[in-house]
Amino acid sequence: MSVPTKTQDSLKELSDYKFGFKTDSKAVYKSPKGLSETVVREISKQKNEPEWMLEYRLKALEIFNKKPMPTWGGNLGEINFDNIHYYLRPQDREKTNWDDVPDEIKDTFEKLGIPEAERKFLAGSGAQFESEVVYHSLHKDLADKGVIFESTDLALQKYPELFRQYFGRVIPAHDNKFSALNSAVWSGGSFIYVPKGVDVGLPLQAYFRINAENMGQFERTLIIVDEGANLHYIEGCTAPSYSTESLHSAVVEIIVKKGGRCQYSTIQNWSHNIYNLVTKRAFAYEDAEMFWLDCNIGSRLTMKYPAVYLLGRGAKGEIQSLAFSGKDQHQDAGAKVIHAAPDTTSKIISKSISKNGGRGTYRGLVKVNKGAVRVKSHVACDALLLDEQSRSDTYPTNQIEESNVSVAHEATVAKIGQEQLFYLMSRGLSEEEAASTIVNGFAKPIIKQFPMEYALELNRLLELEMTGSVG
Amino acid sequence: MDKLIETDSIPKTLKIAENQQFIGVFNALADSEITINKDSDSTIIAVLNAGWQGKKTITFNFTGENSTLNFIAIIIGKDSDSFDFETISNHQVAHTKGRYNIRSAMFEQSKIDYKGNLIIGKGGQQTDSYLAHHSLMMSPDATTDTKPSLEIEASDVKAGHAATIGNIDEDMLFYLESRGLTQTQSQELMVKGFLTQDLTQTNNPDLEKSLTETISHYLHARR
Repeated sequence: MSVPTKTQDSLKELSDYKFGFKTDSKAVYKSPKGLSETVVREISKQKNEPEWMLEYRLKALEIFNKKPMPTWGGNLGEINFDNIHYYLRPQDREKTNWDDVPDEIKDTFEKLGIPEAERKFLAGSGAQFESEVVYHSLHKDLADKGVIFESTDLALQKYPELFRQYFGRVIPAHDNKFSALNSAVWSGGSFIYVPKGVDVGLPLQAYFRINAENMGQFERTLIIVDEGANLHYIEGCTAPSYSTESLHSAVVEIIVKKGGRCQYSTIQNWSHNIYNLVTKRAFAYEDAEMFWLDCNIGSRLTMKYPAVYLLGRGAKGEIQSLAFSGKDQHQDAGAKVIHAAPDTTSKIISKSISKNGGRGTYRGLVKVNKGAVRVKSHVACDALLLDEQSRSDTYPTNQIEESNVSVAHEATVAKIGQEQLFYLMSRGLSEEEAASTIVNGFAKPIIKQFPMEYALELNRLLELEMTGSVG
Repeated sequence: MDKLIETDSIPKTLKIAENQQFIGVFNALADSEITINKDSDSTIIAVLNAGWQGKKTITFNFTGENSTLNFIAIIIGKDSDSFDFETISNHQVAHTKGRYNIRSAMFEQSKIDYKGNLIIGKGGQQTDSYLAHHSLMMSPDATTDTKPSLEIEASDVKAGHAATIGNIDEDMLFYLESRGLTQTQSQELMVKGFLTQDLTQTNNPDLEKSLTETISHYLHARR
């Protein structure tokens, strides 16, 4: 079969990885390679932090050094912690006016379409380059209503009490090895506070860019949605393609109070040299609702299991995810829900597509604590395997300690059906177009949950990743 | 039928020969290796009325093409009995079929900890494998811990699993009671129906009848 011109074009585009360009940017400060007490002290000093934060970091470093590497999940054996820069400061201080951002960094984000997106449909946005947030903005009417949207570093300076009240409460440093690492060297990320009853109508967005080689990005995000408030937060991320590995290890803590709602949407499109080891967890109180929408397309290895702890009666948790694993990629993703209160409900939908030797893994937990009566939970995992080199795993765990519950889990793994292909081809589609159509149909229930602009981009990305493949 | 074994415990090793039609019914589990050769058709049923200490692992190795396995486990948990076991299915050759149906009714402080892993290797094209664990929570002090897993490296397969955990439908219970059955009778009837559902798959009415009677007897003895 001859390759259509359109496909040749998109193949070329794919081999470039649209976001693979790098920027020549001079760092204001770059910590030497490797992790030590000196490095941690220097980060804290550079940020002019209060004493308690330095102590917190040092204690976390101690925990990180003590904890063994996880032996489950993906292959972490090749991460060389001594070959990573843990802190890289790209400019002197954060800007709120786009024009003040250094040109070469501005160019990077212009190419990624960030300022354009903000103008069009966002209530505010932040941009992180290497270790620091270089730019932040929020619509004035939201600021007037008391909404706080800052870089986490700046929030520590500006709102020390609010910050200390919530920081590290959802994910303590000792939670796991990588939350300890993040707690020791965290830098950047978003701090959001939505006051009682405030509905942030349009989404807030943060964009994360790793530019340097052998770089570690450790953003720390803390979101508090107060009673009856509503927030939609979107994060996106990309990096240039290097031959050596970089590490991204974020911690995201979310608290949704009584009757509040929070949606956290991720489009993860790191280049294929990034280890993406992230801890994300939300506490949802009475009648609150937490929704993680998680889309993993990039990275070499992702280990990420967004969690919801349902702590108040009637709380609701939902996690929907889509993972695409191509050549040399392993997406070890999933979801965790802990039902710790009566009348709580949860829904998990996970879809994965593996091709070209990629490996997609679903790893999940549904736990119903004793006393959490009338719990309802439903989990559905679907995997699509596109060739014989690829692999798909499903590892769900259901722990139920209460009788008056309804918990269901289902999973299927399949390939593209010959009948489906045949049908579409009889309608005039090429084999490639038919396969691509089926994959898009498979992914659509997740993709359509994103705002339209992102959904279009995701569809395009999937189409690109699919070219040259036939089920 | 070639062979029908009824012993206390599943044997440590079991070889299903070429072309064999096998049915085995067991009352206890053991660490066990079961080899399934080509063109065979086997049904293995475990009716478990008493718990054990530690964990038992049963491994099913499919070594020949066109073989079918139907594994049924029926568990009645009582007192503080513990049922901790794992099934591992290795589908390494093409054209094999596996059906795994585990049903448990957990009374009092009983606990089930089950892991069911379906492994389909690169050689396992056209495998058709499905595993389901359904657990009834008959007491707020009972525990169900279930981990159905899939590890798949072949592209042309049908594989899936399901798990449900819940309790008896109040409406159905009410219906039975309104027809004059006592609460205990109604419950027993529903649990029996739940536990014996997969036995029709054996296509062996005599066996189905005798096992249903056994289960009925176990449930009755609980009173």
